[in-house]
Amino acid sequence: MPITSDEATAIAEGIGRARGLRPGQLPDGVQFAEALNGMEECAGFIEQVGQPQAPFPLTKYVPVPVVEANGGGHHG
Amino acid sequence: MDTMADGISRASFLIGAVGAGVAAAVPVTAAAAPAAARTQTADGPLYDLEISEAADLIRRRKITAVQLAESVLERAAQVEERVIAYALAYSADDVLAQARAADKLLRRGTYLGPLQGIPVGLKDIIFTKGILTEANSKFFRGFKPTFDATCVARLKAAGAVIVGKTQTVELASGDPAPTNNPWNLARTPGGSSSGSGAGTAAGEFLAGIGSDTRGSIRIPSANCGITGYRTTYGMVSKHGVFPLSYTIDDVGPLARSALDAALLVDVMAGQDPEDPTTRPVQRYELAAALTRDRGKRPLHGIRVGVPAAGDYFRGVPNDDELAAFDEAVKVIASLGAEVVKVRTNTLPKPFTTLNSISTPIVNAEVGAFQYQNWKARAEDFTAQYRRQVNTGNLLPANAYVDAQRARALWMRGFLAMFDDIDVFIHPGDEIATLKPPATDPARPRPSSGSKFGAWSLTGSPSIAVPTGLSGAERMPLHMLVNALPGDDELALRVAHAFQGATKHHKLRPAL
Repeated sequence: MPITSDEATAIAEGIGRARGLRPGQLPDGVQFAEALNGMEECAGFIEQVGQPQAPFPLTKYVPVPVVEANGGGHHG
Repeated sequence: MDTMADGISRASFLIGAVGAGVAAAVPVTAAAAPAAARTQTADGPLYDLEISEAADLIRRRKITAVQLAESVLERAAQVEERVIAYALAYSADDVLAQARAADKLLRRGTYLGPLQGIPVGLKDIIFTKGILTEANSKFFRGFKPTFDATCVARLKAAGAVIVGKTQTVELASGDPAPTNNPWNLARTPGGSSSGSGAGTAAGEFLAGIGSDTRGSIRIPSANCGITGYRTTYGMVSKHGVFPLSYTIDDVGPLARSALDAALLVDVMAGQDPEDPTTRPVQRYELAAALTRDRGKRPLHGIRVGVPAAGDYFRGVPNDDELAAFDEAVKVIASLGAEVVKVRTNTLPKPFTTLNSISTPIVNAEVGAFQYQNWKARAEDFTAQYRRQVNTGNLLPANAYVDAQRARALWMRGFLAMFDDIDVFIHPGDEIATLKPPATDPARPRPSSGSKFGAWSLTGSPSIAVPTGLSGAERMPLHMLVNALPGDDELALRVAHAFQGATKHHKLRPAL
């Protein structure tokens, strides 16, 4: 279900309170709802295409041994 | 003075100047109305010339840059109060001094190229050293950059005469400019490069420079009956131009023909170490490709796609736009192009609008750019502009990253149409609307969505080309000519050949 502008307003106010934002720094509900719903559509589209075909695959983490001058070996 | 040099008929000059001298396939009236009080019977005023025409006259010393500058200055004195194209018109002394310098170089045998002595207006988000650049923004009131934008420096080096800073929507995306449409002063020129579009159409300069994120070059060009060229992303440096969305923004010309637009881009484009997003190409020679003689079928060998019935790009609310487009397709076919109907993959599921991709990107990027200003003085931006910054600064980071990923994935499917075609053309659905509070009558059907945004997301060349005037409003109609990123020459060839065979781009508003 798409996020309504009222719901988006409530979300924005919650974030605003947490971050100490002024009223003039809060998006209006319509604009914020469009962005949040757009975010959902983008996520849905990416999921549909599938990660293996994504242009920015997750970086593969390869631990490498690091030896610092005054310490023992550890993995960084 | 508005006189052509002795013995030069504008009509005869035009015949020689247009490379593809193909008979007009679409009958149009020669001019919408007399252009101005000082128009001669045989020759139009200098301010009405295309750059390619004026450049030839200047190079051959048939007119001087000073004469051309005087013509646009007089024209501005007549119409500016009604059009409001300028945010800051340079003084006549300054403009004439630049023109004199261009003439002096030529007299001494130095020809800088086709922009030498050509009057050009700059959107007021483009930095000019020591000169106010306020972007129609309270926040930047009084701002004087300490350097010229790269595009300005290159225009100056090519001998262009900078006539002033043109009106813009606040920082290219906030409150509208005060500019009126020269075709009907009660209507908007659209934005955000409002003054560059209106001023070019009105004859206050021969071309304007603007920027385009979601259509801001093409929309005012379409509304004002001129040719707006959004280049492949990264051809023209954005260094010294207030950003909106740096992964989408494009700097380019609003001109009177595709050839003029190419002449301007040839000068402005090319890699710039100050802008890491510029393409690794030193310089472009697009105009030369257009003026090459290709005979009577200049589009032979080019496959031109048009939207099939029911496609997103035929979802146009205005019947006149569709009819004018269908006529334009016939002309393009008559010029040798192979026309192919295409079903585009514009809105794959679950997308309901392309704003789902562009809004998180634009808002996050403008939010990041303005973050410090927004923390300190958010209220100095208008509510309309601030809404985008506010949204961008509240969105989670994954919204931006996912939008960019979705953009890249979506592009693959959308641009696959070019596996079978070279260029894709489609009708626009922008007819300049009445300024509030007035409203236009309802259209027969709703639009399927922006016809500009898709090409912004792909970074494609996208050119707004006039296709005539609407029946009821007598306002300019247009089509968009688009191609794969990097295929600017192909898109320009189609636009140029069409303009060689028609006269829509030569219509001028009655002011």
